[in-house]
Amino acid sequence: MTDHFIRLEQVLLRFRTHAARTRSLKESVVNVVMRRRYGPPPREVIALRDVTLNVADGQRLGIVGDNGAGKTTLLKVVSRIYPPTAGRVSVRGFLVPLLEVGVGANPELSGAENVFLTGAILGLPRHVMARQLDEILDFAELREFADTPLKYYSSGMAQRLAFTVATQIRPEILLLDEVFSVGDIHWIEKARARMQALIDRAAILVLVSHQMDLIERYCNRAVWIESGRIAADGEPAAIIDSYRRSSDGRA
Amino acid sequence: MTIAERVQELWRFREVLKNFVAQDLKVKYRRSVLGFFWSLLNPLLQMLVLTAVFSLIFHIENFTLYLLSGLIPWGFLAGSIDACSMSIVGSESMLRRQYFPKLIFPLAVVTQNLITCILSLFVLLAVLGPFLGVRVTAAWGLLPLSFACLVSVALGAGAVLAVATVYFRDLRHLVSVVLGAWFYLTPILYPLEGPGGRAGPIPSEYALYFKLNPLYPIFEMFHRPLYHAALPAPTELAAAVAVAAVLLTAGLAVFWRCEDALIFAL
Repeated sequence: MTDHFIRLEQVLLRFRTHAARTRSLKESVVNVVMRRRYGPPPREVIALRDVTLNVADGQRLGIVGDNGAGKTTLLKVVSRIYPPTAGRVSVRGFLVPLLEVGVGANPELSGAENVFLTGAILGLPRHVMARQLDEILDFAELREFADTPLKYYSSGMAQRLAFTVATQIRPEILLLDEVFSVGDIHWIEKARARMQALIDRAAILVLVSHQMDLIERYCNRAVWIESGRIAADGEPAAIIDSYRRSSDGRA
Repeated sequence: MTIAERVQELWRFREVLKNFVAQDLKVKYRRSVLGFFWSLLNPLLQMLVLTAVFSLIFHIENFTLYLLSGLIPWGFLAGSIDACSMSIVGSESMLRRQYFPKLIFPLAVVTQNLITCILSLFVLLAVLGPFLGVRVTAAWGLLPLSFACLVSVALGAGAVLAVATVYFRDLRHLVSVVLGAWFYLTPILYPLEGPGGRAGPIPSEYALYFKLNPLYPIFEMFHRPLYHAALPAPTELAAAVAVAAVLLTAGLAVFWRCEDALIFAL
């Protein structure tokens, strides 16, 4: 377990937001013909600015900050979902982002087929998933529903399957947005133990959460993001303390 | 990224592509008693109707075989382009959660349609062959190149429309109208010239304009070997390859140029 890293060098991410989400060809043509500008011009929002961050092997990085500060956006830049407007992002290691449960679930396909699809999307070929299929179905307690199309699953069942598949994969770099686990008490206990095992196996963890106790429990480094910039970087206890004091000051 | 890097990246995502294609095929034929036979029955019935109507108008020798050799490639082309235009927009939720080389979405659409098209073409040729007097000739050796040209056109046009639909969501309706018109402008229901170079239903002074249609040489790549049991003229063959190469190159260039910005427009 050496030589995995995440490196961000002076990353800038700029969004263009359009007031009206839907744009149509008809509307654009009409606007050109009528020589009018429709609605306000697009507004530019800087989501991340001057973010330089190095995460090395063995680090468990917690990210704290207010809603809309850019925490999830940062995870999306690291996982290449958002290409940066300027700056450089380099990652070495098998990276799996768990940002939301249920990547690529297809309701028409059976539970087992969805396991293969999600596995492929997260980077594992079919023969590897086939070896783990039984283990996944057993853990999710869905063995007898393996051939049932996903659309007949209850939302709890679908969540259980998605969580189990996502956590079956052994990433070297794990990006985690909040901790996703939904279900009855028995399931939450089981899911927590599995999540702990997943975190222990990963060489690098980046965790975004509003629950400070999770950051304190899992992380050995923390970064505080404010308005798209890194406001502080250091020991989790110290960062959480200064973040809390700043929020209390505003409240 | 260089082209080599992009191709390597697509290769790394081949498992995802395989899954997308398999899933599309499964969903398409799931829980229908006839399964894959629907994709045979559809062109078969269509041909039956069209033969009944148009053989009265055009008086073409072996009209059913002529229809078959153009209608099935057209089904692939129109089906691929139509589905490609929605392929990125329809994958929004996946694209927000995970990185993909975006080309795999149009690529999956084209691959899935190609599999259905090749299967139905050869099954129909085998089943109808004895009745239509189909002969396997050396000219069939051209078919891999014919399919390569057809796929290049589908992927090139499909990739551009996949990107454009992200910005203009109503483009899809326009695409189906344009495809509908293009179907009638391309010699598929009617031949441009009769067998053995005799005059066809189109007066020869207008035939020239029909040949300017960039899809004309592409469809000759199917008509010539399958219906005329001959190779296209060298100029037609060169035109088909040129159209395919230009569309594919331009389509991929546009797609890769816009690819990174798509996530911000979804």
